[in-house]
Amino acid sequence: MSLNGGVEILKLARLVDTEPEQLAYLQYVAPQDIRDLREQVTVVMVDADRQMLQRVASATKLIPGKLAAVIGERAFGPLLCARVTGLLEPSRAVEIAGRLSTDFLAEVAVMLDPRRASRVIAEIPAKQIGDITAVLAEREEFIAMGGFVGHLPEASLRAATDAVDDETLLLTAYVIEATSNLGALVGLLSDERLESIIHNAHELDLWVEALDVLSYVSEEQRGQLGDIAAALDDEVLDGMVRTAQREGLWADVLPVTRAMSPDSRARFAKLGSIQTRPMLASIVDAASQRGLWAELLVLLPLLPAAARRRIAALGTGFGRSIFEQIIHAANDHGLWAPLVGFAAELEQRTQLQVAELIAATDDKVLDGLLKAMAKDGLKDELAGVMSTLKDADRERFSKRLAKRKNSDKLTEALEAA
Amino acid sequence: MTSDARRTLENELDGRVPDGLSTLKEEELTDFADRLHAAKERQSQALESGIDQALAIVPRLARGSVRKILFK
Repeated sequence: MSLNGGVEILKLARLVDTEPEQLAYLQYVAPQDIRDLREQVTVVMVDADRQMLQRVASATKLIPGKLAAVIGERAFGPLLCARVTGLLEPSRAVEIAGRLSTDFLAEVAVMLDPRRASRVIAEIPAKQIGDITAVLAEREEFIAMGGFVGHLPEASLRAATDAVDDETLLLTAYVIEATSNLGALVGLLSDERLESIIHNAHELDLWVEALDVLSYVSEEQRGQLGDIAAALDDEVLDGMVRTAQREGLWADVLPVTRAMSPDSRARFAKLGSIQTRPMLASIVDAASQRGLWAELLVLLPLLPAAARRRIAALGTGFGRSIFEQIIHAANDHGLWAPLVGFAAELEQRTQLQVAELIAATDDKVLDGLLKAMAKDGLKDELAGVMSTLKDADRERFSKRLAKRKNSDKLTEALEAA
Repeated sequence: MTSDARRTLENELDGRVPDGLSTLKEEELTDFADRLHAAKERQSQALESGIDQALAIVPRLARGSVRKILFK
């Protein structure tokens, strides 16, 4: 999943103290390049007055913490305090912070580069972090809050998440600086809170943000969150489906359905909203563009017959290279049963294409198929597909089968077909 | 060939401009360089006036030592 260009422009605009609209020309630049530019700007902004800021930090040692706090709030203002914070001894910075007003600390937090003040942030009491977070939430400072997540110890992160509502939490998670921290953030939240967040993602039309977050959490968490969504009213999943269709986000939804429990996935597959031709075409399109064949294969057998037929009709246009990818996905993920079931529903010309590809696979893949057939009892469907081979090819395939394990039943079925 | 606008931005950034910005027009590179320069200026001015105001707050007894550290 890529970075969000709009969010990167917002962050950069804040750094150079300008409105994001003024930097609209960056919208066609790759988000990673904007992020790289922001890194450079951060460094030069901090380095610009480094000597003087270092002297200010040294001078702070000469005066009592109470006076330093007064000077910080009345004379320096939030920007300079933010720049000096990382240059102070953490314990001294925490002592001064303890004497500053929550409103002022929230302003400092907005200007602070958390990476340069990580030790200070880690030592600020959790209660104070919660108070500052509440002010930041009120001011809708999602980017600032998102920058702190990886720097807060667990107790502080809990205090922060307790201080904000679900909408704020989702919008903050969406713009979080280090997406690798999203798993830890989600891991802190109770099942009840996660359910409430999913419910509100639907109520507040924040599925775009929620799906983005889901793409960064662990497979297990993705499944857990998908199960929570599937356990809510149908309209919640329908909301996710509508958003995926409207925003072209099926590539985010399919991994969620794959990570769900079988019951939740079955519920998703039966949703009325995904059965239409345009929806199914978008799902197949996303699978094709992002190589999410395993995700589609686990869903296929659970779809109602009419939907499977629609997908089979779409399959006639796949072509050899796509079917090759699907065969490999089936073999790699132990999903031969849904593939064979799907192939059996294709029209004959396309079945022949699949049969030729199966006949031409290497021994390892063929053995995988035969093993799955022995386990899942796919011989009749598979024989049906393979019987579309031309006589000479069929004979060659039968000879090949004769040398492989687990092939007797298929050979018999092929002969019968 | 490095354009003037790109060179100006490189000076402001004190390093290479990310490759992805090569799609920007000259005037856009110049605009960003100007905004960055102005942001640095504002920060320096804020620092200067912040120090002046701070010195007025520091008690007279400590002011000499603080000034010595700040302006050595």
